[in-house]
Amino acid sequence: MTDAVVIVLREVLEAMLLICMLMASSTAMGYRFRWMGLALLFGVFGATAYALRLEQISMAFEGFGQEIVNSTLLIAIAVMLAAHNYLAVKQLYNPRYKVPYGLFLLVFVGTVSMAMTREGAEIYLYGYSYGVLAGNMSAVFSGGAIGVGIGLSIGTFFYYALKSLARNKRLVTCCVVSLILAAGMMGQAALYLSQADLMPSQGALWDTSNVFAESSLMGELLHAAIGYEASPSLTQVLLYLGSVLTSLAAMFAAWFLYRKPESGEVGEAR
Amino acid sequence: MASIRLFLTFTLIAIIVLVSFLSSLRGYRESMSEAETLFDMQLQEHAKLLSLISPSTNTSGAAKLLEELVLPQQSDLELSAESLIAYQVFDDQGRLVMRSVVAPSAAMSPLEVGYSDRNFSGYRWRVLVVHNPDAQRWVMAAQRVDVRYELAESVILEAVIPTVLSIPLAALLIWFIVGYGLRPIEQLAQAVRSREVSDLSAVRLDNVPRELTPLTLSTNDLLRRLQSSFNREKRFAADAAHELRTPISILKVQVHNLLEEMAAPSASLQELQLSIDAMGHLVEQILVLNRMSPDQYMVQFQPVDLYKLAQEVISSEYEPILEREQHFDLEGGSATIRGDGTALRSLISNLVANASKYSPVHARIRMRIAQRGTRVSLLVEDSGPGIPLDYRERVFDRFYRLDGDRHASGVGGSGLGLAIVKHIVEMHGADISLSSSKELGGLCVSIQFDAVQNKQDHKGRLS
Amino acid sequence: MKMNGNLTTGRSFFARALQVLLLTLLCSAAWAQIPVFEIEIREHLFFPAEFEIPANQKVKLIIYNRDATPEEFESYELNREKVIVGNSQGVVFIGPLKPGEYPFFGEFNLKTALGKIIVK
Repeated sequence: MTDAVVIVLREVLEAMLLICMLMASSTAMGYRFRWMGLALLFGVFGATAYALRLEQISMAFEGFGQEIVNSTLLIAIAVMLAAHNYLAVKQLYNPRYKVPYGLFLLVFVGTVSMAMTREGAEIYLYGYSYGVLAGNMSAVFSGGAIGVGIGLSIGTFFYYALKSLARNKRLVTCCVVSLILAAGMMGQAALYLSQADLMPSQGALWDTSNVFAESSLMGELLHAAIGYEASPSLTQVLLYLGSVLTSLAAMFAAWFLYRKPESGEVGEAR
Repeated sequence: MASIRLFLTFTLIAIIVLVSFLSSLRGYRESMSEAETLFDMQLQEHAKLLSLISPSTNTSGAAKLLEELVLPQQSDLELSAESLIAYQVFDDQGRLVMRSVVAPSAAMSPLEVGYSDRNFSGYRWRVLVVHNPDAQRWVMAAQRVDVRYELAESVILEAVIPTVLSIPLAALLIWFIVGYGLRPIEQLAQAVRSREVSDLSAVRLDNVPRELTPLTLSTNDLLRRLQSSFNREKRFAADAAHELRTPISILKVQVHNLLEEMAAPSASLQELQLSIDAMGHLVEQILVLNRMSPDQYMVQFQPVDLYKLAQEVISSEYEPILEREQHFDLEGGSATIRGDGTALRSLISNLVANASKYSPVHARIRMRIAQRGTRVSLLVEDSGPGIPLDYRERVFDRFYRLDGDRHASGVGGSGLGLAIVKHIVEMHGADISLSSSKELGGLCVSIQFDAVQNKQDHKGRLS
Repeated sequence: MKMNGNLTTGRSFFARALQVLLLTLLCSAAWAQIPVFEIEIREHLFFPAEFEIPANQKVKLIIYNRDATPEEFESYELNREKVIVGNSQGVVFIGPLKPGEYPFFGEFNLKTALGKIIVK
């Protein structure tokens, strides 16, 4: 049962941090949660389709379909999150600007449904193979429920913590969270690419598994929150930093373009 | 909008879920490791026991099967068959002396004392190796990992599942309890929301919780201050109008005297006289309006025959109609309503004056009073210019005059006539509507009163 | 069981181009010289559960899943994660690695599907 808890919790937590950040951000942007329905619908559909078509996907690209699809999804999410940061900063510095609903939907629904496709497929496969096929339904059910419960609870607190901030601070905090999440995704994408030998793989730069083992609860939490890896390779670190810089550049560009001319020296939080 | 109820419900459920799930997860882990220890002890006891039994040294070459010696047929043990422990006994030379049916003939583990996990016979096993130097025996006892795990889990899950299943119930209870706890707020909001516009009396609630008392008190304080300033404002208008009456009457007399004294009547003096008359009318109208406002008027309702009242009013105020050579009809019959004679008189007089004033010379005006079922309707129609659709709501406002002061008819007015009419209509719980007259082409004012039973057909005509 | 035959034909131009580009740019080691190791999953067990690979060298690992159920080959130490559908196989590149022990597991059957790679 603990396996089910760990597997489900890891995926749910990763998705919840992203979803709750975007929910808080959408309240700051002045939109209600209708987009969530669409995102959940697409996410569930995507996850099911991915899980059911996994065999074909795996065989594609010379057996590296999974790695290609996963890294594509991860990179796309990271790009969407950078776009989110751009829009958020634009709205922050330009009070009369409101993100157009179509663009808002594209970024928010796109991000959440792609994240859910990846995370959901894993839960689906696990539940199906270990629960249904191997007949461990009660263990998978209770473990899954505990994992989902803990993940949703942490997400609830995360959301209300963000919500308690004043609008502008909330928007900035969401940008910081989104920047870190995106960097974690890029780090993971690097793993998939080197696993498929599409990127050079080198030895680990450092090893902190004796501080926080990746399999420990703390390691899982850190992995979900900041994309923690105990022994990352050079490419991973480079992509991680690259993503941070891209997001920062997007935010800086928005700030540069939309700050008020007469108040050039305003700090980011104002 | 942020909702207190949702916030409390979600965070409370989240806390309960975190606490109960983490503790049951911990309990599960503890129990599982406890079960592991138990299974290991079981292995140990079996191995020890076996190391003490010293079968005759294997000379024939083939290892003996333990079950044949000790255990009954396997079919009797169908249920526990999977959980059976596999044994192997080796001598010091590493030769297999004895084994159980489920054990392979190759060594399950290297000859190293202690526990280890090994894959063989298509399963993963927990293997314990024990060495008895006295008997020169190596004993290996093994249990399938998956079977151990499933056995332990099936027992321990029984304790975890109720916790998981109880969460939806807890969530439902929390939702209702939070809703119940927040009900005083809802009640206070309801009490404030449901009152009449003009009702500024204090909000009274039973059992106001301590947290809401300051809010209730300050709301009531606010209402009280609003009420007193409202009263002051109203009294001021009435007082001012009342105080203006005397000087205006004096003015009237003085102008009259002045006109008498002058040999040739001065045009501007006549203008002055007209203006003073208009001012007097305005002040009278303000007084009437104040007296007729629904929250001010001391209502004393009596049965009133609207038709008879109309006859009286028209005969006493027929002069302007005659002056303008207008044609006036009163149709209908006796219709009794409950109301206040003075107020209704004022209502009819205002309507007639309006119709006459704003219709051209030679216009037709018709008043119709009829009882239809439980309703009495009072209709005033004219052949004047009417009121465009967009302005029909606004003409009831105080001091609102169509086209400002430059009315097309070129007549002066206070702009209070219809406001007074509206007040009186509201006071009687009647409905008023403005439309275009189909027959006469001008304005049609329609007022619907509740009737008093008595019914009498009567037709009269006045021209 | 060799997978080269029909799969090479299905290879996408994009993947190949990307691969060639990256390979020529970044790794001078020839593609053909990468050592290949194979493991099997049967009854939720790894066979072999322990094996050795050379240190400081990239290695190609082919995992055959003989079970009907999917399995996820995963290792925190190797930083690898791949789902292998029932009755199929998957390829994972690992390394170059320092000498040591690198445990791996099948995430869908954590109690039994355990193994480790010994790098020498």
